[in-house]
Amino acid sequence: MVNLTRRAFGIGAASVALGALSARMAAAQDVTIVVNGSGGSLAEVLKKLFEDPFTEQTGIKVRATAPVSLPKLKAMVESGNVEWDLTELNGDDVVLATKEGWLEEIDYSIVDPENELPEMAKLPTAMVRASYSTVLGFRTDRFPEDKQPKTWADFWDVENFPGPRSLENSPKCNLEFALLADGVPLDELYPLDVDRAFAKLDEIKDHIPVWWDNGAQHVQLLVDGEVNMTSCWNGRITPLKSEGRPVEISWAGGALLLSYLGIPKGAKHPTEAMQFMKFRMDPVASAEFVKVMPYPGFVPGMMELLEREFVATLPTAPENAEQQFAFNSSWWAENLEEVQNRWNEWLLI
Amino acid sequence: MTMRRPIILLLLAPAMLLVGLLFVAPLVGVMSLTVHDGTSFTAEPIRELLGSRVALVVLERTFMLAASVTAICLLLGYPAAYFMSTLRPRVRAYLTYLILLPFWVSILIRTYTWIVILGREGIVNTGLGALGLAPVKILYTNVAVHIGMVQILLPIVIITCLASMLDIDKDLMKAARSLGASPAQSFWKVFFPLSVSGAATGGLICFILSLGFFVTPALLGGRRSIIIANLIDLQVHQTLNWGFAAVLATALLAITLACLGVFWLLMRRRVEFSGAGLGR
Amino acid sequence: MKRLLAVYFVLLVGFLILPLIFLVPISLSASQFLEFPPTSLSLRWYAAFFEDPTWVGAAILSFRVGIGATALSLVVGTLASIALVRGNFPGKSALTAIFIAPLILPTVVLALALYIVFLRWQLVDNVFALTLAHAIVALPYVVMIVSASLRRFDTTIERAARVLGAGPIKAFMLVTLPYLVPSMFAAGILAFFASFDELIITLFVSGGAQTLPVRIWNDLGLKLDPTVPAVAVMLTMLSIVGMGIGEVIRRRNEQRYQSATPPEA
Repeated sequence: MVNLTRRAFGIGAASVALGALSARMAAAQDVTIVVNGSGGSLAEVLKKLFEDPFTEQTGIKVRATAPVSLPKLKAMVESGNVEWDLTELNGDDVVLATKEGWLEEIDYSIVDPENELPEMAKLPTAMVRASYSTVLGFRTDRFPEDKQPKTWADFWDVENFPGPRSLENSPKCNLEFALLADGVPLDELYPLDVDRAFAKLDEIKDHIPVWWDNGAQHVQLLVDGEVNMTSCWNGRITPLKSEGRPVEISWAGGALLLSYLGIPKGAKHPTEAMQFMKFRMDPVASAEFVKVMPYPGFVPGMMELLEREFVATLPTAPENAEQQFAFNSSWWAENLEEVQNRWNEWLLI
Repeated sequence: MTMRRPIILLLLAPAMLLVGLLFVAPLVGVMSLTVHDGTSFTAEPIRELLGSRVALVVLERTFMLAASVTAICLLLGYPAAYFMSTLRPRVRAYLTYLILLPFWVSILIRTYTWIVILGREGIVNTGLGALGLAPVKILYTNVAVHIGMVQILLPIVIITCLASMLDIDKDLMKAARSLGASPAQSFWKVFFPLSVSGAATGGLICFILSLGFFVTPALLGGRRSIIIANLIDLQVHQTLNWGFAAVLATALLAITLACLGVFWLLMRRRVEFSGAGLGR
Repeated sequence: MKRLLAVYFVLLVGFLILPLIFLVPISLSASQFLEFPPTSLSLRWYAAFFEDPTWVGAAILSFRVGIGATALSLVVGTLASIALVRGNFPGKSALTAIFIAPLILPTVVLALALYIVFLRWQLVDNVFALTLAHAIVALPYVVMIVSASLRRFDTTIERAARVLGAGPIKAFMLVTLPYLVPSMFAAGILAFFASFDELIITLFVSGGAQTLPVRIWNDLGLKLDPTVPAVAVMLTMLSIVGMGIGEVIRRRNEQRYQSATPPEA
């Protein structure tokens, strides 16, 4: 009876399969789900666009935590005391966490009842939340107008494109960039030829005074003019350009990466977490969010709400996507430890 | 003055409770990963440590960096602390305040400010350019790491040295002077020996803190400036190889405690010899 | 000699506060990036601090945890130092080493270890537990500085007080404690800032609660705008104003009791 009343109020749950869910909601007016994300200044935007409206609609409270941390996930699942109900995850983290059994299966009859999400956005244990690119960024004022760097081959070409450069302090993506510079076609990158990549990296090593660690750092490197070019996240360059800074990115040979949402194994409120995942797929709110942070997910109907000029600056715009390679999370999850150790040896000694 | 056991226990109880519950107990679990992988005993992490050139190189680098930073801090900090100890209390209070001002600024942001100051097109190089001089490469070298670390650690060394200098009975120096010693003599023969243990404490704290530095070497140094805390962090966050992280931490802890032991033995000798054994 | 030292001291202080001086113009930049010299000036990042409740909350939490951890480590650490210096018992050096070890161990290891037990004890996202964890990191400063000072202390004075009829506790309170005040003050300052600037442990165990370093760190992944320098400048200003007020109060008291205490004692 309670179920029927609840359903009559139509609180998110229309399908018959959700009887159990509705019963839970009836008993759980005071439920608070813990959603783990990157925090920082974006946390306020997420709260305004998604968390507060969600609470208003369902009565389920949301507590945001940060930062995204794989060791925390491992610790909480292995100890059986799970702090989060939902967390952001990188692509290779999803692969590893799924292999280790740290993530719950997602019930897409709750998250995507109308079956609108593209298949590639729906992994069994995680759903795509956002896409972003690691691309070549450079100072336009450091190169003649007709001779701006475009490709990773240009990045490696210290004769024609002189000056200090920077890359991330991680083998991820850098191995791919090295292979592209060495002439490997976009679609033949994986499985990576690690030896060939390191040999190519040897060539550029001495021209890289600094290996960046975080997003704020590579932006600062370009702003200060510390380097003439660097690998960078596309979303960090947009505000630089809109402030009129002489910076530009090239999509050619960029890495297209995905960020996911997943539910830790043993989470206390998996069903409510999935309801929230569904809520995050709201096209209007998502469009607003992408305007703040240009990392679009695969939310159906969102792109139509955005200006065409803006869409052209997004990593998933067709003309941008076709120049990039899809970062292969599975390969990296499989080989990370070995490659990372080799990277350390190569870089630190 | 000997204390009775129950009193000793009573005084130690709160600290033991705190450290036992929130330090020793939690660490037993993680540190046991050094020899135990969760299901059975293993020598794998230790083998990994001894077989890892990176780990050994980085460990050595960490101790060298800590030693040189500590030496610089003591050389710079001791005279400053001595100067402060000779001032009137109120002036000293103001200066203490001034020395402590940098603490209000997070280490993260202080480090970013050094990037702006020392960078290729930063203030230092702009100034040099204006004077017609060639730019210098400071940022992303060990020099920048030293500058950043000394700026963070120097106040700690000064405050610790100063606290011990204020304990010293100034009448002792006056007595030495009245017995015919020169100012230099009264400083070196009376004041300096009495202040050594305080300076040593400051140096020790500085050394230990340097070993654990994390942000400064990563952001101001080049690729060869990475030290052990960064390497451990990588194992914890990236490769999730906690056994290796634990063995690295154990190695660091063991070497540091061994250094401490030697240091204390030396200090005890000193105190016995120098006639400054008043405190015994 | 003293003049030379004074010049040297001024130079040294100049070096120490150099980053602070540059923070002021950087925080006043209108750009959303850290730049020096700023191309145009604005107070927008100061406004941004007050408009974002997470910044204000982070500042308040940092002070709460810092003061709690300082008080706790100061009391607990001083008591332990007395036992360590005055007492004679087996395992004394080992115990001293354990009290100091939190300073040596890279915090990421302690952070992970604490996170695992805090999960088990349901203490994640608990401000009191966070304060206790910070007290662990602050304790070594107190034990090292206070016990070094106690070791230098001439116990004959305390003994004299005992001879004159004071009980052991009273003799300690009247003689030893006043002697320890400068060291305890130094230790307390270092303990407070050890907590105030603690990042790694807090990142692990604080759950959704953000202290200032955590708030800054969470921004580093995406953007570092001049709000961060603005916070630093405001904190510094606040501490200067605080000192000014303290000075005014002290002067007023001094005037009131002028006949009783000569100012240059």
